[in-house]
Amino acid sequence: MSSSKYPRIIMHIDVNSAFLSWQAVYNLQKGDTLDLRDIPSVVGGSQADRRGIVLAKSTPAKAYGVQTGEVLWQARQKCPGLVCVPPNYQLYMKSSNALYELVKEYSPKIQRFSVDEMFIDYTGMEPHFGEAEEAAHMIKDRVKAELGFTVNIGIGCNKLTAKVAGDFKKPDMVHTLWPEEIPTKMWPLPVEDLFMVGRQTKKKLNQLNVHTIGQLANMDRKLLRDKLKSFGTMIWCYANGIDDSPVQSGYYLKMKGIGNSTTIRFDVTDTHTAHKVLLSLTESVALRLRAAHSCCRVVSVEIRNSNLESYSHQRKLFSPTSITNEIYRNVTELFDECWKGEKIRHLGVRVTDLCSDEFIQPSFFDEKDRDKKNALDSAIDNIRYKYGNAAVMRGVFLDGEFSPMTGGSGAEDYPVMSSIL
Amino acid sequence: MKYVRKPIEVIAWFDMQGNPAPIKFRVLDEQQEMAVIKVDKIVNKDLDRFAGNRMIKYTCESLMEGQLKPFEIRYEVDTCKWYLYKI
Repeated sequence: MSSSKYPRIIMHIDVNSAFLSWQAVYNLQKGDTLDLRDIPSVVGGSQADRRGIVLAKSTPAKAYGVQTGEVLWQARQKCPGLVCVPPNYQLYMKSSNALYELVKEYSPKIQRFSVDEMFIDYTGMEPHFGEAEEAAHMIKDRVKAELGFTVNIGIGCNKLTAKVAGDFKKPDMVHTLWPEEIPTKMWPLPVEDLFMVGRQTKKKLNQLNVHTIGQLANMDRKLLRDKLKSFGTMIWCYANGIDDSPVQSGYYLKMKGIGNSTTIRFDVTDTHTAHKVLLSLTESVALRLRAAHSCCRVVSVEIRNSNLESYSHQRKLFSPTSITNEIYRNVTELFDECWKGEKIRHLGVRVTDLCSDEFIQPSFFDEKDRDKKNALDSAIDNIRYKYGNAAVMRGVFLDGEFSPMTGGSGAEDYPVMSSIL
Repeated sequence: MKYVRKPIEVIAWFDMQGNPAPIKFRVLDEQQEMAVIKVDKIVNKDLDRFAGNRMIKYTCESLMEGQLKPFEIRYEVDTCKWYLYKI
């Protein structure tokens, strides 16, 4: 078979239960005799800090019905004797980088889609490493031998089909999804297996009597557009295996917004404490905003109360800004406007509607001394880059109750999940 | 060889390319005493990159109690720590 009959060859590499298998391999390397992948185990946050959800699970844990994202005690109920290990984001970054270094030998065009997934543009590389399938097996086996964990590789002629193929039977496999294989391999799958179709969309589609990807693909496009707007057209294209997004080499993603959020160790009941948490979140959001050389025009605050109900409130700013104090002032005003006084479990700060910080249109109503404040922020940023985030902090955090900058896991450089192909 | 996986104190020789080679090391033995072992010969050197964590593995041989014994020591590059892995 000559693969050149396809205009593009894209591979999608996905690490099998990434966080867990990295931890397992690391433990084995450190000298543990127990392989976490062979026993029911999960990577989970600390229950004492109330971040006790399942981040990743092993295959035996999956057999018990343990799901990613569920609360740890629920998982323990399903599976007594479940082993739980804390997350280690530095290790994940290290593993991800090692995988990237290995894969880089096979193609110059690689997109790191998330910490455990990447797309490879294999077009035209056949003379060097053989047919796509051969090369995929080679990569998969090398990763297993050299880095110790297993990956699934999906091959298709665009990123979408490659990603769908990568989600077929796991672990440690190579699957293809060429255009002629779409009706047999992809269409019988339930519709929620399609990229971008989540719980809400599934509900809507099921109401339209669409249960498989094939039904969606053969549906009237106009009807779908009418029901779901442009998103309908997009998933219709995806169901038919149509996607022409390029493999963006390096890591590049146009950001729509920057946000950080945190679950607090205890329920917050007073404004003062809430403001403190918000300030510490704003510090990290504003730092990231400035690092991206951007200014924001919209600020929003998200609150989740102890009943796990979330709501948010946002505001359009008069002129774009990246000044920590200015964002914080808006954040506190927004919070005071929307907080209903109940117990708060989780707080988030988000800035959207970004623009470049190169030119800013000032206005009469701006705060005074903007240049000075910008200079102050950039001085603080520089100190933080050089000596660490704890080098300069606000006096309000001196009691040590909250960290002066909250949010992020060390995996900021690569999103854990993305919705943009 | 038996797995021991103990942290050890090492004297090593780093060449100009930055490659370390262990010369001798000491380890706490069963009597909680420091036993010094001189590395007589490095039989093999290999890089382990499991989970992206680089560890240099040395398979070595030394004369212990009149007997030539093989053992393995490891150097974790990121933390600069040495381990006696197998003996």
